[in-house]
Amino acid sequence: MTTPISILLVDDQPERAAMVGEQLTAAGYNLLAQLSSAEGLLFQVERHRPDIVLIDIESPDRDILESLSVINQHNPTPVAMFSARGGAEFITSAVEAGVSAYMAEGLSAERVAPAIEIAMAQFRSYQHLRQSLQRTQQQLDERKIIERAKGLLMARKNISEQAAHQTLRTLAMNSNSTMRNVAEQIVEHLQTPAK
Amino acid sequence: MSSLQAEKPNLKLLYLRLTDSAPLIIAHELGFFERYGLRVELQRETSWATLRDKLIGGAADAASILAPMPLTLKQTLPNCDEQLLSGLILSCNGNAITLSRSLYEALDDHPEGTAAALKAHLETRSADGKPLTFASVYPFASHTLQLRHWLSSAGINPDGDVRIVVLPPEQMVDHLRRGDIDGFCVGEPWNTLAVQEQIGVIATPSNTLMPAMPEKVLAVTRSWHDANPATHLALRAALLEACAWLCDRSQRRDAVAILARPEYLDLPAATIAASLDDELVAPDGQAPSKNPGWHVFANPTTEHGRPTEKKARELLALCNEIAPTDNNATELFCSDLYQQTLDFIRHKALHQTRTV
Repeated sequence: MTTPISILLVDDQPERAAMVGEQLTAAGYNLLAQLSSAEGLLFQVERHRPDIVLIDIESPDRDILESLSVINQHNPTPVAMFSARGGAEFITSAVEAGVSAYMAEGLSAERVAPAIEIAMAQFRSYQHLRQSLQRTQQQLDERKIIERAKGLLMARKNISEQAAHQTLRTLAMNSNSTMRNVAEQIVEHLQTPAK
Repeated sequence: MSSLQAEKPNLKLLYLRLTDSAPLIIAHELGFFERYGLRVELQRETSWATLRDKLIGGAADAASILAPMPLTLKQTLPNCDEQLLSGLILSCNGNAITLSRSLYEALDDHPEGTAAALKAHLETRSADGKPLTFASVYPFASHTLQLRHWLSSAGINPDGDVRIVVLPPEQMVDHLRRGDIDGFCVGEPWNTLAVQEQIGVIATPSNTLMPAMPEKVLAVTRSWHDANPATHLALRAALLEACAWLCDRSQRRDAVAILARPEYLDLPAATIAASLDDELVAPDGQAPSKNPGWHVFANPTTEHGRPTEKKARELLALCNEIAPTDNNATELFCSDLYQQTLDFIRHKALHQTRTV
């Protein structure tokens, strides 16, 4: 078997970096190093001579990789790359996933593409993970504000929990709004002490 | 044909925090896009490489990019089949070379200027020390060419005597402040900002080094152009009008206030105003000097906006000093598309006069 492709990963999101690193290693790639910033990146590249450097497309640090071609035109290590395996589709999905990749001279796009695809998949699932975390947080916030509104209604109007819930629901339906919005308005209205 | 049926009226355009992104921002704010039936969303990016990849990847429709970028795409993305082409040079010049104050103060006065003083300084530096580091914004950028030209003109070898790295424009001043770099070549207003924050001194504006050098072009991918020729024409017409508007100096004051806003350059108006007023700021509160033609925007009455094969060839010849380039790329500067824009604007004007 040929030597596995060596990879340098630069990512300032430690959780995502761990996900990508784990998958790459599991797939048999040689993960040389995982950096959280591009500080010392040029030095690392010169030292490790990676076949591929993977970096967040939004990271301004990636520009330092573009430097390599300027610093030394004969530099055998990374040349900027955005492979056209399967035409623009590959680039489009890499841009959507937020991955950019640089590969060493002499490697073919076909050979490095699977590694980049792994990174892309991990970037995507990290994105989903964050979105679902956000949703969970929103749901928690929503439940909290509704509970608070109910509590205030119960105390001020001297009604049962069930009646308070019913009031919120009716108000939401009548005003064509959500329970959350109505709850927010009630809390805002009722928490200001009566004059 | 006085009104166009744009194939794709809703567009996303990319730009960086630079003074010469003005044509896009002005066209957006003053309704030039709408006049041509386009609804445009502007998206700010940080790095040229990221902007390039988003444009190639289809995440946006068009962008204001560095003039050599379409010509050298094969060098930066060797495996990419897509091409970038341009039918409009938005502006010429607009950059400067700035040195850190500490480097500037270490230089002795030299009758032949700052570059010669730097050469003399390099000869006295110990060879084992850290090499002086200069930053450009992209490997194949006018900035790299200007920096290399400036160094070479004083006998400094840009490939051996100093180190040249790439950084995003908006990070230049911070890197200079931290001492990561000793100087840079960047577009305005970042040179002016470095002087105003007292961490840099402008060594030379780019227009005195290499006059009327194409700086920013409107670029789209070839496949986008093929699919949306009328939209592309409308886009060029709207932007050429915005460029002409910017040529009227009395209107630049209004442009400064718009550019300064948080959603655009997010910088003090006084920082943006200097280069648009052709003023070269000096350190320590000294009076500014005049630098005519710091920004030259396209105008239907001049040839600055026309992307010709000759201009492409000249840029490629300079880029060839950095790395071997592809001479067939000159066709990516589309003079015929520029002519089409001129004809369209004139026809439209004629039509409007008749109907009035």
